[in-house]
Amino acid sequence: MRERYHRALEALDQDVVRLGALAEAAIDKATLALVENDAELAQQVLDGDDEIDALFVDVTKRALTILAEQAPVARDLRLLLSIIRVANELERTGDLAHNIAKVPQRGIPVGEVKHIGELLHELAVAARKLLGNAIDVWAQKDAGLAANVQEYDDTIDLLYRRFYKELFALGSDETTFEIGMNAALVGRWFERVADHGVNITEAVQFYVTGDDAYLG
Amino acid sequence: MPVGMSAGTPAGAAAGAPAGAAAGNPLLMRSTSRARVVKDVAARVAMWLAALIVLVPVILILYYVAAKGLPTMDWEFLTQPTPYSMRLRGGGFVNGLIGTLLMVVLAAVVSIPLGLLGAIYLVEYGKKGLLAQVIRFFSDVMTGVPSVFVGLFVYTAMVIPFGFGVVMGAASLAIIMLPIVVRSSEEMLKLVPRELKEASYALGAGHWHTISRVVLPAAAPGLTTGTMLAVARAAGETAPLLLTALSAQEIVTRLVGEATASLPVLIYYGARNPFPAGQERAWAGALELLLLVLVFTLLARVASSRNRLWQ
Amino acid sequence: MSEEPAFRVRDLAVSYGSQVALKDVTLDIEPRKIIAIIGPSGCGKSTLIRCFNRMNDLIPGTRVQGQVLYHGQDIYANDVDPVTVRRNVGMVFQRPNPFPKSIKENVAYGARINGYKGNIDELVERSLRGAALWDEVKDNLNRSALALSGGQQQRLCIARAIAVQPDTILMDEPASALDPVATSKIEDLMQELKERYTIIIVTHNMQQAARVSDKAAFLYTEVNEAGTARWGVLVEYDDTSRIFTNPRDKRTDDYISGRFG
Repeated sequence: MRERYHRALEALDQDVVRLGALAEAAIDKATLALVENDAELAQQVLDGDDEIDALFVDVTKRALTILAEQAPVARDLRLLLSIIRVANELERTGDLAHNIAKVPQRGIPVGEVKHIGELLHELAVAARKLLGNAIDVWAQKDAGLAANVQEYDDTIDLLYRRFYKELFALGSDETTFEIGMNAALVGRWFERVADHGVNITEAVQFYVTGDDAYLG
Repeated sequence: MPVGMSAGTPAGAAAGAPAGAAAGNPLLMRSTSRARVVKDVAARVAMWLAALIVLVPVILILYYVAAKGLPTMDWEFLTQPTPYSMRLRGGGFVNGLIGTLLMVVLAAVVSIPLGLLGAIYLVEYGKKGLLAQVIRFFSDVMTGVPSVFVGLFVYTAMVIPFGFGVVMGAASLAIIMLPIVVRSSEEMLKLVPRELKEASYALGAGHWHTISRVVLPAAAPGLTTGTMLAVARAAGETAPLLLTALSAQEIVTRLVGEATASLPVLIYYGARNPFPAGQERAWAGALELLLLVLVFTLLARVASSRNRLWQ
Repeated sequence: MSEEPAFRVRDLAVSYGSQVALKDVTLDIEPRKIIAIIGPSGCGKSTLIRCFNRMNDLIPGTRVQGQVLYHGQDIYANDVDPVTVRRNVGMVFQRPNPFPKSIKENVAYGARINGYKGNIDELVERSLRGAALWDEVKDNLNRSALALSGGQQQRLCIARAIAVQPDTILMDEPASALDPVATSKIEDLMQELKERYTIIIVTHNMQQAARVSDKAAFLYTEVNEAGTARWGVLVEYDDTSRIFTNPRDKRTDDYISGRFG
């Protein structure tokens, strides 16, 4: 019984990594669609979101079953709580990819505005890098690495602020207004992706140390 | 072992279920083993037979004693002493009944408390200690000693200086009863669950409180049974009484220095004499002794079940 | 927290004959708390709980070293009578073990042998109420205790223990022989009892320990290098919430999450 339970826990853990890979891919594709203004690619991201949602629901249900049937304690209990939290963060990341992809899908050429497009791409790459590292931290349950990831979030904050300044400099005639509004949203969403990444690393820190300071 | 369903699928299963389902059902396959059924029936019959064979002598004894004893068993037999001559009809065994009652009761009064205390010592205090082991060993030896030796011992120790009598007979019976009481009571006391004793100690009871208020009441039914076994054994002893109480035609008047009749000795005398009147009285005496032991046992059972609260 | 502990155990070691069963146990037990003793089979849980009322004395050849201080008094001191200890520290056992007597006589047993001067009927009612059994048995006080269900018998045993007016109750796996409903009744009862009594409970049921106790002591078996001797040690003693979410010792973590033992 216990053997099966621990195998089920490990499988869940692996599925969270899988969910992470799906979220990463979604962000990658959404970024590319944005930069290339590729509506077709954007549509793929929108369609792929169902897969992420389905896996998220599956992981959550299995986690609930383990909670009900096995009443996990100690390390297992912390792992399960972290699994639920991280899965949630990744599902939200998927939603953000969905939001981002909507912009090129509707043919709004945010990526083609010179300065803005470059900065947005830079922000996207940085957020994507942070997310990837956060998922590595999860896969390896490495609390030491978590601190590096969290530090990198400061770089992203700086980038985001620079992006905002440039955005204001854009001015506001008819066409730039729509692009500017959407660019602001997309920038905000990439910044949120990084935040989810940071939350994932904190969940790992809680799991490893059991210190409830990391719950906040 | 016949293998598979072809050997003997029960008709019902074969008819009721499709062949494939029956073949795949492991429960049905098991029950089809005919050898097993045969073995089971054979074992059952053998056990019934064994039980019946055990019962045969008991039933025969009861039957003969009742058939041969009842014609002579009447009010006169129960209330009159033995006539002077074996040839004479009439009279009874009341002298023996009184002698037996006196000696058994006296022996019980001495040996049961003593034996019980001894058993309590063995179970609660001595346990596996040296003294306890010695007592156990000699109890076992005593249980196996032929009762005529006990009679000889009491003859030497008491009859030679003081003469025959109830006390001497009772002494020999007490010696025979004591080891039985000790060993059967020990077994019964050992059966009292440790949990009950622990419960008592945990409530702040001392050793003696625990023994008197928990162990003895809990063991009471078993103790009674064991004790009654000893009483029955004593009531039927003949050899030691021949050497210690002898026999008499009159009802006893003194406890020491007067030969005293007892049921088993009267039966013995009656049975070995050539005259039909004496033999008939012996049969009736045997019936009387049997009933006496039965009454003792029943009384003890009722008394011990009165106060107990076992379900 | 500032209150004087009910028990202070210092460097306790217990051996049966030449075999060490338990060693190096040091812990403080606060009054009116529920303390769970957990650990794998054979780690000395029962041995430890039986040190608190000197029940180990009943097993010949038992040797207890170190100190068990009960409100500052070493209960293993030479001039202490174990009977006195047991009148202050009651005990409930794994299997319900009512005496083959009436319900009333079961409850009154301890009071009677201790020469209780008050009103026995009142004491019986108070104790049965205290054990949440009164309403179920008040019309049948003279019936055999053995006619009660297992769960009722166990609550009767609790009533019997509190009738002696102890301040601590030891429970050695009190619910392991009971069904879930009876078990939860006992667990609820424990929460009520802890307002007045210190409760020390041995349990194999991790969830039960997590549910009912305020603090938990985890014992574990150590084996010597040759593998010829094993004994229990206290691995961890902490708040139950801490033990079950973030134990300090890996052995505790592995055991309570079912990785061995």
